[in-house]
Amino acid sequence: MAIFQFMLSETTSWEGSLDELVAEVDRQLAPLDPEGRLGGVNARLIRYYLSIGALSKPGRAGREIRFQRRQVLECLVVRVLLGDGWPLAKIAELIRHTDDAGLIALLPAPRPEPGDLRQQAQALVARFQRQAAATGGASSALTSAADATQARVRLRSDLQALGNAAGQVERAEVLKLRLATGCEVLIEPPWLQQLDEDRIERAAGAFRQVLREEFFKRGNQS
Amino acid sequence: MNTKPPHEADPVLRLNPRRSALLAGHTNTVELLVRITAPPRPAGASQPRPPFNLALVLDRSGSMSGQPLTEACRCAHAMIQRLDARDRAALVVFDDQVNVLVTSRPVTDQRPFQAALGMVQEGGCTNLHGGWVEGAGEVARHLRPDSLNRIVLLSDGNANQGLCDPQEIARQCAELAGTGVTTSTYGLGNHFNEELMVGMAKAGMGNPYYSDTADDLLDKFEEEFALMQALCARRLRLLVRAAPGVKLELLNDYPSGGDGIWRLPDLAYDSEAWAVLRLNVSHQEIEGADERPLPLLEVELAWTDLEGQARSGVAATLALPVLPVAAFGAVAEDERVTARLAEIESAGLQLQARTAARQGDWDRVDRLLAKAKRLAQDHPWLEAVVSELEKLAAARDDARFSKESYYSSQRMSSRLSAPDESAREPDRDDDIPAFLRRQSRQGKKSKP
Repeated sequence: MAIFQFMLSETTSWEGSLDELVAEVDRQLAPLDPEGRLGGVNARLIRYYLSIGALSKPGRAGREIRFQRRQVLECLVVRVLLGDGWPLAKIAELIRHTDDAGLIALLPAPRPEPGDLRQQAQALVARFQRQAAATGGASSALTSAADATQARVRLRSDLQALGNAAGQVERAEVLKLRLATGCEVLIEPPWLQQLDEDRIERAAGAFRQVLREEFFKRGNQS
Repeated sequence: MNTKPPHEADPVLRLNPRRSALLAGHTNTVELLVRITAPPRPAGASQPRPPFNLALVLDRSGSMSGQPLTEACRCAHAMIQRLDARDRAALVVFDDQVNVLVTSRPVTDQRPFQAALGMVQEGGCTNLHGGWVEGAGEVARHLRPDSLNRIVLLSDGNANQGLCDPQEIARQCAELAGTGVTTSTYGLGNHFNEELMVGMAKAGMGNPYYSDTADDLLDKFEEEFALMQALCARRLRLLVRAAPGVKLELLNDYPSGGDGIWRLPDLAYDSEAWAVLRLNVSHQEIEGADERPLPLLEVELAWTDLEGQARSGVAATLALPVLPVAAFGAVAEDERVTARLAEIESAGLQLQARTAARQGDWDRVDRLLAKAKRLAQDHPWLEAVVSELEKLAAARDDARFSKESYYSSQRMSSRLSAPDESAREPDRDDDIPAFLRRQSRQGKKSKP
């Protein structure tokens, strides 16, 4: 977790106004999202996140609202998970039940500068640790925020091992495999050509997790 | 054959074909020995070596109870004693929990390490990956390009907690090695997973060792320490460009770094890294050749020097004359090439025998060893290795046979050699460093 400890050490004692929070979140988001896919935040968005409980209540100094490190982390997680396609209500629920370490585990590793081997090595170790943490947790269903945290880390890892560098699920309707009535899998034929035991295992694990997440996002409607 | 040494202290690249000619009118198969010869160790009191940045990661699971754990701690202690103020070390132990007993620190004072080692007690299960990754964190935090950055992992068991997938763990070792943090592994006894441990070390660009008993362990640590002290070039890569119509195959089991690129073992002073390529030269190319030697390939060497600088520029080309049958028949075979080919073939037979032993097919094991024995007729070292394997096979000791044949095969096809090896008998290897000795048993002490 060295790379995140570094990031957090910068923000451990962080405190600021609403405008300063916006600036800090954008600053921390930049290395996590070099392509700018996640978009930034602004004061209006922060107020909205607060209103729906996606951000915890900030402190006060006299009449002035003072945001702290926790809200920086929460904002980062909101942006990352929104980018992954999560509904905001579910993100808010997750954040309420997750401690700082759990939130950090949800964030992608910052991209190290090319040529900085130490930073690259530390980023790798941080990723391995997240992967190990995910492997250690036996999660049969997304019944708790902690399970969700671990399962998402594992999903990202499985997808990346399958060659999906972004670690995010995309959909492409090409070849339809009907597993049962109402349950069909769409796969691009070139991918099928590359099947081997490892890919089968990875795909099965990822498929299981994707279904769980869909179930989780939908909630218990019975 | 054209060799271009840009600097006196650089490794020298040599190409030795099995026969220095091609046979006219036929498709030819040419075995080519590529030799990378290190410079001699500089004389004088202050012999250069890279600073070490190590993490010693010790298994303290229940199966290590007693002498194995005592011996592991003794080995770690011995390794720490050999470090000095230039070096850093960390000490990590694991069972189902992982504990960093000493965070990475300069070895200016050995007492914290000694005190920590004195308190290590056996525990429960084996979270091998957790221990490795914690050691990786310690090394990564202080990684320097001019240091030898290495995780030294010792275990006697199978990973049964945390991440246990050998392929995934090896993949992580390889990824980390790409940044310069390498992994060496030490398997102890008969119950560890040799494929996991060898896979980690190979992918991690370190060295795999194993010892039958705790008694033999210190010898393996000393061997690696001597090798680390003697290193003069790291991260060796061979780039081979074949001429049109020439197909290439690498016979050693070195990791590929891309099309025509292979990673070779780190190079020590007074040693030689080597690879055997098999070239298939098409009939059409030979037909089209004029009287000049036919260009077949170009080999280039890249490496990282002791200061951590990327180096390249050492290159060699191979061009062979095309001769009619009578003249071709008169060209002698290079004995160095045939010897290395025999080693690689023997390594392959040992792997096949291991598979058969794991299936309980001892008749097949015996047949394969008999074949390896015939191959070893003019090679005393190969003969000694096969004799040791025959003893294990005769005892139908599948656990030991499996480990010995696996490590022996790995060593035989990817070892450093002494440059004057062909002129010395294997039993006269005592006066050379342990990492260059041709040992008949990998799991035993190399000293007589």
